[in-house]
Amino acid sequence: MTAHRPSRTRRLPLATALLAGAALWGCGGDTERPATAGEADAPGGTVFVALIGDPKTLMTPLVRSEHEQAVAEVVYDRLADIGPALDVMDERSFTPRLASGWQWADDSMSIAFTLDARARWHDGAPVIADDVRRTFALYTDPRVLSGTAPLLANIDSVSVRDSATAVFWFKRRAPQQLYDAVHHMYVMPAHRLQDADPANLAASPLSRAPVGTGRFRFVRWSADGRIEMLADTANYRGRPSLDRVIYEVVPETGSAIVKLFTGESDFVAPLMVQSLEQAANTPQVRVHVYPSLRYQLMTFNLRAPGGSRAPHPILGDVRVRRALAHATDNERIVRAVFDTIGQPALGPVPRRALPEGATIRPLAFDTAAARALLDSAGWTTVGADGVRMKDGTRLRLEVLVPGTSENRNRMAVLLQDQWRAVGAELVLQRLEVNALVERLEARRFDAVMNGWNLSPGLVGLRQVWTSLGLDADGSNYAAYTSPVADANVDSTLLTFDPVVRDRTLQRAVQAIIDDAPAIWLVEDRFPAGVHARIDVGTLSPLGWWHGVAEWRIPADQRIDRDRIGLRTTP
Amino acid sequence: MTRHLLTVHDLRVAFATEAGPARAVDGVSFTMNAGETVGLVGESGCGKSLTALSLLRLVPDGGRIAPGSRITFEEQDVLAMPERTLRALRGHRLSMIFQEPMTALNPVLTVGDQVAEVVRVHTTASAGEAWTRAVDMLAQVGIPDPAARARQYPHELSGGMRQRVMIAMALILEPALVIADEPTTALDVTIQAQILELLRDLRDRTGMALLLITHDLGVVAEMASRVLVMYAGEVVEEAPVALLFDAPGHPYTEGLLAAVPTLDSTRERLHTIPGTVPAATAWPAGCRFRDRCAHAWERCTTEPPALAQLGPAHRVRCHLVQEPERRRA
Amino acid sequence: MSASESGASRRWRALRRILQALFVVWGAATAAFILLRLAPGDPYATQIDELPIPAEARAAWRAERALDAPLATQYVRWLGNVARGNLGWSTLAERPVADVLVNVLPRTLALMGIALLTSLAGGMLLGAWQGTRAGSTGDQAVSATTLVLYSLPEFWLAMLLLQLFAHGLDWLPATGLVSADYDYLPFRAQVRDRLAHFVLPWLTLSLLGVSVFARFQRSSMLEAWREPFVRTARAKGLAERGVRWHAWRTSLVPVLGVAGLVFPSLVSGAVFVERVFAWPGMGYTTVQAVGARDYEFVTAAVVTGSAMTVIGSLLVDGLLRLADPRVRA
Ligand SMILES: Nc1ncnc2c1ncn2[C@@H]1O[C@H](COP(=O)(O)OP(=O)(O)OP(=O)(O)O)[C@@H](O)[C@H]1O
Ligand SMILES: [Mg+2]
Repeated sequence: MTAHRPSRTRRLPLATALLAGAALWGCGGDTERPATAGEADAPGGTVFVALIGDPKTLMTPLVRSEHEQAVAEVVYDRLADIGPALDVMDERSFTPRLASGWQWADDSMSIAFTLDARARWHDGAPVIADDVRRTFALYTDPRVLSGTAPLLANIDSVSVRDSATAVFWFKRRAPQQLYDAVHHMYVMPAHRLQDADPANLAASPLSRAPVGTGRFRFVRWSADGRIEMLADTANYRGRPSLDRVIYEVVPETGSAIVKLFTGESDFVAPLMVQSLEQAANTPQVRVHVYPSLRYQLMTFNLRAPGGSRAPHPILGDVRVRRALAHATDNERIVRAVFDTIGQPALGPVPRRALPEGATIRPLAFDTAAARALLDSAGWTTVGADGVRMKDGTRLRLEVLVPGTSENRNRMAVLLQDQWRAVGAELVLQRLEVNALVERLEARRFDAVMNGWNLSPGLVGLRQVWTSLGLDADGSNYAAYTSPVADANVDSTLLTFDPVVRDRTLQRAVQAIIDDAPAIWLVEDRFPAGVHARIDVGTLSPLGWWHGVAEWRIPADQRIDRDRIGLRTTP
Repeated sequence: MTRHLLTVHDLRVAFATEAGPARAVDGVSFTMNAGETVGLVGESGCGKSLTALSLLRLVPDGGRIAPGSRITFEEQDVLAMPERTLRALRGHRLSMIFQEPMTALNPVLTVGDQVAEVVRVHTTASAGEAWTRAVDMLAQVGIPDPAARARQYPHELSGGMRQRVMIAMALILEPALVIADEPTTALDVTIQAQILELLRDLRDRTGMALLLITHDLGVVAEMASRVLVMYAGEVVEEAPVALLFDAPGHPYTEGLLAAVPTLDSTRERLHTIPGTVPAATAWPAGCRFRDRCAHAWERCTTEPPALAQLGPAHRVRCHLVQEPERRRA
Repeated sequence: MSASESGASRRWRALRRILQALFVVWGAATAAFILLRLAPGDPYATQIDELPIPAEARAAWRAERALDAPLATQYVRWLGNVARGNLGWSTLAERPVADVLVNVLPRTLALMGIALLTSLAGGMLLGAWQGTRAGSTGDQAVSATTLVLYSLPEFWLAMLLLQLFAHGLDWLPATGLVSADYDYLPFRAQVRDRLAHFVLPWLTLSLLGVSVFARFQRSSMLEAWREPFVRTARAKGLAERGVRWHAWRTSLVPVLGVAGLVFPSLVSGAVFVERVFAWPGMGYTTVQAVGARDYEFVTAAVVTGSAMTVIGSLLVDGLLRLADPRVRA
């Protein structure tokens, strides 16, 4: 990981950014290739994408689900994109998008973004700095209730310097300032939002007919749920290779997979593990496995259920938690449930977000150690059914399992089995999601099967595993606090020194693992099924939809629908 | 030898039951002439209805007419004829009036349709013509305002009216033989008389033959010229009606006569004969009536009596024919 | 009974039925309104695995939507809105409830309506065929098949047919109302495309429906087959087809009686069918809306659903009247 510190002395000169941008276009944009590049490189093709769920709105501040983001991503642009390594501190790895470059203020409290002069909204209007200002205003307007707003907390305001320059003002110096400014928001067209009511943004026409600057422009959202996008041939970043993408809603994964196999869909993600073998045997389908920053775990409640401050009668004891961690063979659980697609989780940060060469020591699967720990914690008497007791209390825990997740249920069942071997009883409580969340928020639970999707900035670490997340509407469901973890998470998020960051991140992760506030189960990786004629390159860990504009179909592989061309029907 | 309208020879109908084969009709033979009215009497379960149904080959599921049986109607072998011929016969030349007019009529079709259907099936008449004929016929069987009644459903009619509809249905094509299976049992006394009156009327007008099945010997006396008495699947006595009432030959017939209901107790069944009919699966050896017979002696337990000639038109199935001295006072 | 009297009482009865229906719809909507709001969660509740939206922001939003008012106040406001024809805002679809209904309701009505018709027709024919051949190999095979279909979870059946016809045989498109590139097909291909997409969801629901109705129809036919009027029909000389028609016509009455009961099970079938075949209709959307605590859509859906059920039961009543003169009156 290269060190790069955005500071007064080492800010990225605008010219460099422009240069880097131009260099990227050289290899990214099709239209910039010489016409002689040959038939195989001529743009064209229509791709059908199956979405496993309904997008409700394409109004980006309201976008919450992956299906919505997948569609919004191709119509809208960020100011800049984070590089493939997802390193928020490596400013040079950011690639310009709507901003052709940016310049730090001398005090590093603001960044001025210069908008790409070529950029046009799909309705032909030029992109101006006021668009950026208005976008930020919308995302942070409390009446909008954007799920993204909390991520923008460090941005104080956005001002317009001139029509081509928007300035982001920050509240505090932080290593993630650039990332915060560019990553979370898609820039919206201010001229289309004049009449929009922030309290009812979804009622604005843009919600169902977006006008963006992305390399695809919106064509239609049919009443039956199909969303059609067409290549924006006049795009400032060059037209995409594909002519058209049509998104179709298929709520049942099994059905979507059938469509993939019959050729009715070209892209389905994620596939079910059970269908991978069949996918491998289907010649016109290729499987691409893409990583993510998501992991699944069983979170323990360290406090007595019901929101009290007293320690949990069983899980309040770190020896018991560590014992249960030792009693867990998550390697086997992951193989059984996710086959080779998932990877056993190490701790609260997935491997790909850990520094290279990091040495993390998990609590190894070791039933002898588990038994010894339980003995030492006083859980020594064993009942007739093999469950340990202490002072008349059984070693019995209830775990909340979301009723919709078959995988989590299977993992919980396997855990139940493994823990029985050391004398701990696990009772599964499958709940409807709303009911589960209610108990989670009231802290009325022993343990819960949940998951977290970390953003590259890792700010989630602070909300989930430090004392900052302890309050009633925080996400520290475990009520876990440790001065070591707190201090190291803080410096991970606040230091400008990559070396320090790497070190403190490892320390924080190790401290949390050692205190065992959860059982780390699996780092998610997702299999995507893709029609073999389509070259999707490498799918991004931020989501498969990040590279759709780069997908291509070689001319000799095209099928009927690839030849529809750029025409649209009313 | 005169040609009979109907000849039944050695009719046997058996059911396969869990207790073995039930020989419900067991060797019945008789004849009928054109225009003649014959009464068929006997206690419940003795095989009257089955005999009648056999004439139309309508024995219920599970029952079989045994191979040796023969039924000849208008010189056609009923048991051997193809379905198609048989269907042309049913309701046309040979028809039947059933006992329970409520359930024997289709509850969801108008009575007019049900009567007209007979015409439509057997003639080339159009639906309209068939309907007109049905209304006519309903008038003939004494239904007031027949055009309106024809459009009504069975449940909208009284029991007597329904039976009139049944009769209209059976008689509309003026069959040569009508079987009336207890046509009045389900009706009120006053209605019974009206229905019988109607049947007699129509018979006299059309010259049809009538096989009248009943428990009621009084009815037989009024309507029939000849009587068949059945007991336990067999004909036990056959005689002209006057002779039967004057000088019954079979102790069973005597019993029946003794039990002729008076006008105010028509609904009572024949329970003055002690005991009950034996089960059809296990007819007793010898005489089937012997357990209930006041005159029975050893011969009756071993030797089944044959139908013996007692007079020119009088036949009786009883050993008393040969040994009259055995009759007790 | 005079004509005017019966007219008045009929009008009164119709009025009472309408009032009853309105009461049912209102009751169902009110129950949905209250129960859903008492259930855990709200449209802006934290999702599992997601960082929560700050509590103040949520509270502000709830205030904006008046979701923080007492239940009674919310209820009165909702009633007022509905009375003015404003069904509210769907938080799930982020669109007005009426817009969503206009899209999804016709799809479900078309699918369910046609499937219901084919189920009734298919079930009635199949069951009738079985009823007259009870115990035969054909009957047993059909009975076994309908039993399997009847007990198979709807989801499995849908998946099975999808795998078979879309994947295995590749005869039919898998899901959706139309193909993704529908807009670029020539007109005739568009028609074909729509029809082809209709087949699988329709077939699944129809198989379910046929299996239910056939089982009812079979036993009803078996019963009708034993009725005396069937014998009457034979005695009239009807061919077997005519006889079967008599029995079938009568056997419809109890089957139509249960049609109203089958309706809800078809609705629950539709939920799965709509999901598996991505048929964006009422059932699937409502289940989603319940999960997302989309209060106003769910309440509107319950109103529509109970209104449909009431209309359905009125339709069934009407059909029953057509089929059975005894309930007319
Ligand atoms: N479906 C059947 N299965 C078995 N046995 C039957 C069946 N139908 C009739 N029987 C037998 O045949 C016998 C004669 O029946 P049938 O109906 O001819 O009597 P019946 O003389 O008409 O009596 P009733 O005066 O009651 O009408 C009955 O006693 C019964 O044992
Ligand atoms: Mg009888």
